[in-house]
Amino acid sequence: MRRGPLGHPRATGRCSGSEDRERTVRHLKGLSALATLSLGVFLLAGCSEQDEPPRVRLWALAPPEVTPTDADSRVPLRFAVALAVSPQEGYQLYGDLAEALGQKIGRPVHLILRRAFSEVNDLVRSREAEMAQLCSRGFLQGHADFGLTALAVPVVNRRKSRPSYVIVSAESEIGTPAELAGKTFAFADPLCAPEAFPAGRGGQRPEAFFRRKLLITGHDRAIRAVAEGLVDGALVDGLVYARLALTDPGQVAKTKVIGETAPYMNPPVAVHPGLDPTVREKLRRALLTLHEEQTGRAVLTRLAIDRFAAPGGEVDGRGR
Amino acid sequence: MSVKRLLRPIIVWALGVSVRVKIMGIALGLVLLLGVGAVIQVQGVTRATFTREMDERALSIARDMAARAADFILLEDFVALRDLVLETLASSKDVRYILVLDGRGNVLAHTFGHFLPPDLQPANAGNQYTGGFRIQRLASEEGILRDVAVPIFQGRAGVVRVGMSEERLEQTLTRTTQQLLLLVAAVSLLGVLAAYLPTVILTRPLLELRDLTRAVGRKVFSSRAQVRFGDEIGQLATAFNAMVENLERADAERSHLLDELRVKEQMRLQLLDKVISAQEDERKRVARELHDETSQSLTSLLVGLKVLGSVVDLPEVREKAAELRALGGKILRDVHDLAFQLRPSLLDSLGLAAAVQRLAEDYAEKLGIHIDCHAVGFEGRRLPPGTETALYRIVQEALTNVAKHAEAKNVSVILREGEASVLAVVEDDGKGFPVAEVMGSAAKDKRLGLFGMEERAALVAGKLTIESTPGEGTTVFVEVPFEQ
Repeated sequence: MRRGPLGHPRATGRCSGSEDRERTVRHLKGLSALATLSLGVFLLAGCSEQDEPPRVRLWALAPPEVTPTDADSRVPLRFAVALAVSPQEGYQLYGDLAEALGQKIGRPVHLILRRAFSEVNDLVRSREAEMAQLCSRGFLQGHADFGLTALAVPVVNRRKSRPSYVIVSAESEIGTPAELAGKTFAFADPLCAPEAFPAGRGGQRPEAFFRRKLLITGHDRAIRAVAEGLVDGALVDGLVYARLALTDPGQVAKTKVIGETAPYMNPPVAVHPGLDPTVREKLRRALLTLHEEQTGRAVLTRLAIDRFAAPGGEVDGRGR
Repeated sequence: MSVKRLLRPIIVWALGVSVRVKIMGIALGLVLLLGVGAVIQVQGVTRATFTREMDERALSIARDMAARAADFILLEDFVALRDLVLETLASSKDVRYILVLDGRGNVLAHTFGHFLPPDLQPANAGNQYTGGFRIQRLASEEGILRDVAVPIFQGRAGVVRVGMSEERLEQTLTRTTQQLLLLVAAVSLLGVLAAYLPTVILTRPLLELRDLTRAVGRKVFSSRAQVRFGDEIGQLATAFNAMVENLERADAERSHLLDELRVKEQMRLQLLDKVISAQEDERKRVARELHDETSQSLTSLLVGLKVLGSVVDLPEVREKAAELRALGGKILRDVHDLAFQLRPSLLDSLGLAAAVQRLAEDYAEKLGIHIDCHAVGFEGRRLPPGTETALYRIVQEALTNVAKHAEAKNVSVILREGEASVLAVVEDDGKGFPVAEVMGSAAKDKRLGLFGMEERAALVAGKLTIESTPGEGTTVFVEVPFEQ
């Protein structure tokens, strides 16, 4: 007789252990099949996506498509602007001016923005732009180089010229340009702005005068740098400062003017000397009469310009 | 209804599997359920987190691009724009491409080199932006792409589109899922192994009990279930063992009774045989008695009457008549004796006590020994005729045994009538005999008389007991109950 582990007799049944094992293995196989099925269903359910996205072929390359231009077949007049402000600010300001001018001359005006007046001069010289607005220094250079001709000059506060301002933070204790000695100072556009800093020390180079001299692209950015305390002071264009006082008075209020340079001509609107006289005349008339219409006045107000005047002589004394 | 019908065989199958498979199946099922649930959950959470993080990153990159590209576009510095685009692509993870389009949808810069995938330029197009951006999922040969479009300079300078590849997400998901599935598989294996030991511990006693039950079904009572612990299975094993013991005892008793019944049946057959032969012997004896004694006496009576007819002398007639009357009286006594031997009429007329008294006297006279007979009770009451006859015959058989075997000098017969039973005791001072030996003897004829006594007692629900020791006499007790 077989005995159990503790010595108890163990009966041997008809259904042997191997039969049990076979049945267990059979059932386990069934169980695992069921488990696999459930797992598959679960995973499939988990992997399903709700919607099919559009297909793109990344590996099939072709030349980029070019959208045809507008049905307006009129040749646009290209207006290049040397920016004294940031491109986005400039786009907003001069974009409106270009549109207003376009309406007046009956021809679309395409705006071309450039940072440096030399680039603008190059565009006009190479006849890639018919019209340009640039700082007085750039104009003089263009005039000397290829006869760039001024059509109109902006009148601001009844003047065709304005100084550049030395500004510091409104909360700053600095009261005169001389007190900026040893401070950080920003120039927005050294090419257009006069080199001489009105510190009253006669010919001292800014590098020696300031602890640190920075170049900030755009006069509007230089004003913000002073307002936010990034630099102690900055030399900014008077026209831009006046305009920003209108568009962002909060920023300007955080600054104060402690000095100014000698006045110089406001940036004139000029054309290539070879431009069709008819077009030139149309443009001149459009500019000089822009302030006479509501749309033009609105544009000029945003630019902080009273009106455009013919170049030569001061406006003062000739009425507003 | 149809679902029920479909599920039914599965449920029947599941309920029909062995307990081991059930327990291990439950363990495995739970682990798998948990594992699959965890995989799905982790997949979902990882995908959502990754996608959200990727969208945020794409948006950050696109916004940065849009801010930096605005000036380049407005100033038409497309070289700087392309440099910006390439530099951003190189320094950003998961970015598959960057496109900068102008307001008309013309490509200003992109990261594909000279040419561009033609489907990409018109994809995710439009002027509507929710929250300042627009996201479009795109399917490509490299998997799903998330195209994030952000307008440049309020859309006036165009739009920048950053395409994020979900490849790393898919790789991470695949890797995570694989690791989790491996973990689930390992835990399942461990679970099965962990479940196997308790399953074996739990089911082994059950399987043993099953085998034992089958053995008991085949009348193998020698095995006992092993009681390992005091749990329900241990209690079941204990109860099972008790049941098997009871069954074994009952089976032994049954076998014993069967043997006894078989022996009794044999004895009864022999008794019947003896009764028949005793009947024949009795008939022979009566016939012989009638022929040898009664017939001869009657012949003598007839001859005497014939002689009487020829006698003329009166005194001689008177003498002959007296002889003949005496002869007639003897014949009458013989016939009376014969009749008494066949059936004591006293038993019918005067009852058990008187009949046994007469029987005792007869045997005392016949055997020439002293037989003392006492009857206690029996105050004019009569027992059931069957009981009286049985007791009479048992006492008769006991006295016959005394006469045949006991060599006794004194015999005592006591009858006592109780409330509900009558007791008869026949005691002698003879040589006695080993009761157990004789009752278990193979020589059946030796104990046939005793068996007949027992049978007679049993017929009237009585009990016969014989006490005897060799050399110290024998006592026969028989007690028969009766209803009053």
